[in-house]
Amino acid sequence: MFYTHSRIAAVGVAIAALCGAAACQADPPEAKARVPQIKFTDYRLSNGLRVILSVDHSAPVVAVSVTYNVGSRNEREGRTGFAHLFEHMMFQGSQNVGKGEHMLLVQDNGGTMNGTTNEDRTNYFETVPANQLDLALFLEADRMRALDISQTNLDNQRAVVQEEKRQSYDNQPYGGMSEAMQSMVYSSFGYKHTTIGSMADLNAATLEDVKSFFKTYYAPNNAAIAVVGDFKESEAKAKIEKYFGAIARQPDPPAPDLTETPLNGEKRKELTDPLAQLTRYEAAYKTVSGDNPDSYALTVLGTILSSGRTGRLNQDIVEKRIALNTNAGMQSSRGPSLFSFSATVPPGGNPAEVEKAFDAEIARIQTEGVTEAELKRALTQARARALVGGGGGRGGRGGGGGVQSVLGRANQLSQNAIFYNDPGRINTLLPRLEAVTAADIKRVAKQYLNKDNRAVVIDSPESEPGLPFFLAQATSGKAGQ
Amino acid sequence: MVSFEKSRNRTGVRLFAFFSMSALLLSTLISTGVRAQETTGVNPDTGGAVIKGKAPVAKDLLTVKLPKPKMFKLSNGVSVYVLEDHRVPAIHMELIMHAGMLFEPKPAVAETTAAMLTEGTQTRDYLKFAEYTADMGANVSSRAGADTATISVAGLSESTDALIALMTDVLLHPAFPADRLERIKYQQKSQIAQRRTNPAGLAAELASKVYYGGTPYARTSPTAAAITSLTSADLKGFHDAFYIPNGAILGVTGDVDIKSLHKKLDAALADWKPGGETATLPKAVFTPHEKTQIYLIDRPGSAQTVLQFGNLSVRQNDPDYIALTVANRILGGGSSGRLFQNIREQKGYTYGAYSNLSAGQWPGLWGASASVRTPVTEPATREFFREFDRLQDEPVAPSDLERAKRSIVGSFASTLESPEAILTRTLDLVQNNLPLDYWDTYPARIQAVTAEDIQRVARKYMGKNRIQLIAVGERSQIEEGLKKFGPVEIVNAAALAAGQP
Repeated sequence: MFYTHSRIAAVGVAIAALCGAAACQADPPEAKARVPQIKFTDYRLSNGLRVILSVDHSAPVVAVSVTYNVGSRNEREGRTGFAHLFEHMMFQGSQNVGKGEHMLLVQDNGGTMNGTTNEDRTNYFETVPANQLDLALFLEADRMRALDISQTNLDNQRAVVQEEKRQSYDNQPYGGMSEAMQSMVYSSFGYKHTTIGSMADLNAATLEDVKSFFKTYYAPNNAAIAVVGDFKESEAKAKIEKYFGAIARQPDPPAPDLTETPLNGEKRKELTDPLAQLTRYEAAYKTVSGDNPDSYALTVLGTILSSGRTGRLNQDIVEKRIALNTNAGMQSSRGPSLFSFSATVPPGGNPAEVEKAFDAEIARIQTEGVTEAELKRALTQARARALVGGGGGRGGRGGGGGVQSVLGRANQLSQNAIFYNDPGRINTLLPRLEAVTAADIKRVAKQYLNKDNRAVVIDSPESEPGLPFFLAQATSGKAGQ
Repeated sequence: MVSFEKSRNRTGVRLFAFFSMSALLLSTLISTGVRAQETTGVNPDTGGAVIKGKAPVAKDLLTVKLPKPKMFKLSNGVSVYVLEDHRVPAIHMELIMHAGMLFEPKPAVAETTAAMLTEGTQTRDYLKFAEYTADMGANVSSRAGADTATISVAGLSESTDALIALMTDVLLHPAFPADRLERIKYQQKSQIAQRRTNPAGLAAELASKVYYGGTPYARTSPTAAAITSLTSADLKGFHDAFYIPNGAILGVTGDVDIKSLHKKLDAALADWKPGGETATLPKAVFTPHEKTQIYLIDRPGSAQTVLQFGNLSVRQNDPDYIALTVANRILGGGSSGRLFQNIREQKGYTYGAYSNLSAGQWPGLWGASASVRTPVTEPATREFFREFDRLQDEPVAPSDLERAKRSIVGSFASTLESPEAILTRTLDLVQNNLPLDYWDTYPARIQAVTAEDIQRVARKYMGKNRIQLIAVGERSQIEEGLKKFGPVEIVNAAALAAGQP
C-alpha cells in the first residue's frame, strides 16, 4: 500500500503469484481455530492428597507434578530462603532412595526432573518414558513419606544454594532489583522478602528447621499431584493409592499472615551496580490475586502494552529510543500480584524520561482506553500461542514447555489446584480473558495504575560506562541518527 | 495460554538450571538389552551418590522410531521435507539457505540481512507486517547462523495460504528500508554490549576465538564500527547472491496435506530462480590444541569465576562422535554426570557443573563449565582436571556405562511430544549429510560403545595438556591459583570487543 506504480511494475509478477487466492493486501485471515479442552479427573485420597489425572496417548511419555502448598511466603523472619533450601533437601535422599539417587534414576532411564520454589508454592516434577510411571510415583511418594536428612547433606546443599544466589543474582547485573522492589511494594513479611533469601539466613538454617518444616508442610493433605500423559487411568489410580495411600495426614499447617496494607504513596529506591553498564528502571503496582476478575483485564492490558512490535510500549518508547527495551504486564499469582513496567535506559538516556513515557502510556489508557482492534489482537495472540507456541518457529506441542507439553499441563493442573482450588483453570482462563472488554481495561487502569500504589527501583552503573565493552561505540552509533 | 499467565518467576528458584539437549526420535515401544542398574551401595563413579536400589525401575527400555519425512522437490530445486502431524491445527515452516556468516563479504552483513527481512517488504512496512502477522496469530522470524540463514513461519493451519504468502514476501521482496536499518544496527550494538555484561557471555565469545584460532570459524560479535558501516546496498547485494534456491531446504511440520502443499509452494516460489553458484563452506585446517593454555578475563566486582574448559571435538559424521556422546554423558551430562555429582553434590563449589558436546559439518567443541565462588576457583579447577583425567585413566564401570547408554536412548521418547523437535532433527541430518535413517540405527551404535572406546576418545580429545581454560572473574584473587594449571594469558575485554586478536 506504500508502493508506487513503478514498483508495481517491478514486482508485479511475484505479487500476482504470491497473492493468488489470499490477496496479500487484504485483511489477515481470521484465526478461528479453538483451543482444545483438556480433560481430567480430580479426586482426593483418604489422607487428603489431591489427585488430578489427564490421559493423553499422543506420545509415549508421562509427566508427574507434585505441588506443595508452601513457598517463601510461609518463611519466618531469620529464615529467608529456607523453603527453597528445603526443596534442595528433597533430592538428598529418603527412606528408600539414596542421596542423588533420584536424579540418577530419572535421568538414567531417559527422563528429566527438577524442582522449583517461589513465593507461593514448591513443586517437584519429572517427565519419564511411559513405562516408568511407577518409578516417578515411587520417588515422589518416598520423599513425601520419609525424608532422610543429615547435617553433611544440609551443609552441602546450603553451599549449593548460596552458589545459586551468586550465579543468578550477585554475579549478574541488576541482581539486587527484585529484593529492593519486593521489600518496598509489600507490607507482609511473607511477600516482602525474596525466595532466594539472604546469605545470613541460609547460614542460620539447622537440621531441626528441616525436620520441622517437613513435618509441617510436606504432608499429603498439603499437596496436589497431577499425572499427565500416556497411561491408563484405572492403573494410575491404583498405583497412586499404592504409593501414596499410606502416607499419614498431618494437621493443617498454619496459614501465613499475608495481610497487606495499601501503599498509600509512592516508594522509591536507587541502587548502584558494579556489574551493570546501563541503567535499569522498574515500577510495580500492587494489584489483585490471580482469581480476582480484575486480574484478567490487567493481564490483557499487559499484552496490549508490551506484546512484540505491535505493543504500545515498543511503538512509543523503544522505537523512539527512550528505552532500549521495555516490558510490562501482570505477574499473576495467588497473592497480591504486581503489574510491572521495566526498561533498560540507553546510553546517554535518562530514567526520568523513561518514567515519564511509561506514565504517559498509563494516562492514555486511563483516559482514552484501548481500541477494539488492540483487544482483538491480544486475544488472538493468546489463543494462537496455546496452539502454535511462542515464536521463532518453536513452541507448539511440547516445544515451549508450556501448557501443551505433558509437563506444562501437569504443572498447571497441580498448581491451580493448590492456588485456586481449581485445576480447571487450565481450560477456563482463556475464556475469562476473552470476556474482557475495553471498558474493563480502562477501569482497572484507573483503579490500580496510580502513583500512590507503586514502588520504583532504579539501578545504575557504579561508574560511567567506558568500560570494556562497546558502549561508547554504541552511543556514537546513535549520534549518527 | 501459559505464556499469557506470566508466572512470578522473577524470584523463582529451582533445583538446578540446565536444559538438556535431549535427543529426539520416536514412536513405538520395543524392549532392548540395556538393563536398568542394579548396583547398590555407595557408587564412587557418581561422585558419591548413594544407590539404595529399592525404587521400581522398568527394565525394558522404551525405544521409539523417528517418523520419516516425506520429501519432494520444487521446480527450482529446493528440497522440501514434510512431517505431517495432525494433533494440533498448526503449521511450522523452516526455510534454510546457505546465507550464514561464513559467507559474508564483510562482518555483520549476514546477521543484519536476516534481521532486516521482517523490517518491511515492498508491499508492507514493518508495522503493517507486524500487525498482519499478529492479527492472524502467526510468527514470522529470520536469523542467520554460522553457515545458514533461516526464515521461520508458524501459525494456524487454517491460514496455510497466507503463511506461505508471508514467507514468500520476506524471502523475495524485502525492502531494506534505510530507517529500519539504522534501528536494527542500534539494536544489535546495544544487545552485544548487554551480552558482555554477562560473564558467561564473555566466556563464550572468547571460546570461539580460542578454539577456532585463525580460521573463518572463529566467530565473535562484530565490532560497533563494522555494524555502523553497513548500508542497505550491502544487504541487498548479500540477499541477491545468497538467498537463492541452490542448496536450500524447506522443512514443514504440522497439520498439512502434502499434495496441496506441494502445489501451493511451487506456485508461490515459482519466481525464486536458482542463482549462479552454490555456496560452499570455507576451507580451513582445524588444529586441536596440544598444550594447555589458560585465558583470564578480569571482571571486577565478580562474586564468582566462570570456568569454561574444552577443546575441539569432531564432525557429526566422524566415527568417534558416538563414543564421544557417551563419554560426554558420563562426564557431565545432566545432574547424574560425574561433574555435577562431584563438584556440586560433594564439594558444594557450584550451582551446576556440566559438560557439553557439539558437532556439525565442521568440528564442534567438547567442553565443560561451571560458575564457582571466587575463593574456590583453584580447588574447583583441580576437580575438573581430576575428572578429565579419570575418564582417560580409569575404565568406566560396566554399570555406569550402561546407565549412560540407557539415558541417551531412553530420552528419545520425550522428543515425540514435539513435532518441531522432530523436524529440527530431520533437517540437521540433511544439513550434515547424514542418512535419514540415522536415528534408527543410533541406539545400536550407542550400545556398541565400550569402556575402551570411552578412554580412547577421552585421551584423544580431552587428554592431558590439551584442555584450554577460559576464566572470567576477579583477576586479583584468582590469577595465582590458576597459574598452577598452566600458563595464564590475560585477555583484555575491551580488545575483544574491538575485534583485536
